[in-house]
Amino acid sequence: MPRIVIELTNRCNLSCQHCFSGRHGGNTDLPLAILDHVLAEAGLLGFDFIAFTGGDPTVYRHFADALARTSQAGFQFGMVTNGQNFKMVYPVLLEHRDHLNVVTFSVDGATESSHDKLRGKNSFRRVMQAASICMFKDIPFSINMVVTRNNQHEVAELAELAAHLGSRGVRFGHLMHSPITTADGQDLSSEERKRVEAEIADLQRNSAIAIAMGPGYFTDSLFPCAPLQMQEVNVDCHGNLTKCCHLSGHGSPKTQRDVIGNLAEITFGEAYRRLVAENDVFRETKMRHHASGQFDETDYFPCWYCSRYYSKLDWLRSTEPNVWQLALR
Amino acid sequence: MTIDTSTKVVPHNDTLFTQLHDGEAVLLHLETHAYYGLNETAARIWQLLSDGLTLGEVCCQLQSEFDVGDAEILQYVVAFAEELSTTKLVELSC
Ligand code: SF4
Ligand code: SF4
Repeated sequence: MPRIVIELTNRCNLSCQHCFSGRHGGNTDLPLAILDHVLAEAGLLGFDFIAFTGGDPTVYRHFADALARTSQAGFQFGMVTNGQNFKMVYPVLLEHRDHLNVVTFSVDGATESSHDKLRGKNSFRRVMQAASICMFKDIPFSINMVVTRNNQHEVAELAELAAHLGSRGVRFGHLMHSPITTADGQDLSSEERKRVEAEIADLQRNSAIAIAMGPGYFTDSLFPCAPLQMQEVNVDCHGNLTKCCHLSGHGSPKTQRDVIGNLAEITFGEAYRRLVAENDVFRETKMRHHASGQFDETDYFPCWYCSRYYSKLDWLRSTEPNVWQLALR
Repeated sequence: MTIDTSTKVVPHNDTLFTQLHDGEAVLLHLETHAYYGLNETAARIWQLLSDGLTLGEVCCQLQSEFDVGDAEILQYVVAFAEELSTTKLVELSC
């Protein structure tokens, strides 16, 4: 399903330790006119799914309106949420049940203590309440977990918890780098990442529910993710069409080369055409780097490759020595 | 433990109660993951039990709110308490 990820807002009702400040420290809501603009044009380009993100999408001022417009335009939709507001917003989701594909809850640990350590006191209880509402009201949901030093030993336990709760599946993802998480010691080394990935691969074979690993895992494949295959594009809360939600907001304001164009200034079709051209250049460059034997360990973690390609790693120069500084070469 | 009108039913610390918009509610035990959907009447009983009322007091209260007979309501409330206790969503005390 070709999808558009839409960041409805960069405001958030949590302040997670592993979140880079631009995500939850902002105060921007996507203008509804931009959403209309996307909904009017995206279908013509083959997109049929909208994934809402944030910040937290449920704090978006026009949340109900956004869902109504999306359903009315005939799109299927899903959203990623921390679950804290779910008790308030689930009736709105039920109104659009026919178009709702899945709600994804961010759960960063199988236990209250590990989740709350990253996401704040009582946040585990509230996201579990959200899951229980989904069970009772038959709302399809899944779980995302970001693997950190703090919760790396809980992947199997989380898969078990998810299965008990009736989750459709779990998607594990590596922590996207940031000065905060590095300073906090939450990053895993490449060897530690590979160990966790092997455990997740094992779970994929043995779990009762669908287990997936989000993009960013160690791989020989040069274009392993939906954005690099043009199956997913990202619109940030400022109305920019950008390369990928994983990169969006990272780096200094001067290094936003992943921003393709603003939808208040150009049509979605034009922005998409530019993105396709940009992606062709990216692919050629990456293939050339690889063929010339210039790849190092970090390049096989594709999000690190992208982060360097889009010049989002300057902050690494001023941190304590760590394994990922290899990516600075 | 025998359940009678003097029994108190105390929600377990790890039981999450979520009141929903339509009057229904849902319980989830954080450790055992036991899960229980409550209709409007059961949600009301849960609230009264959480307020510290004994099963007998809950029955009196429900009779004043709903048009149901003595025996019928006691049977319902006791069965409810037993089921919640079996799934460890509550603890019983005298
Ligand atoms: S819920 Fe998401 S956006 Fe909000 S602070 Fe946490 S990680 Fe950041
Ligand atoms: S950062 Fe690059 S590799 Fe990672 S998901 Fe985005 S496009 Fe794919």
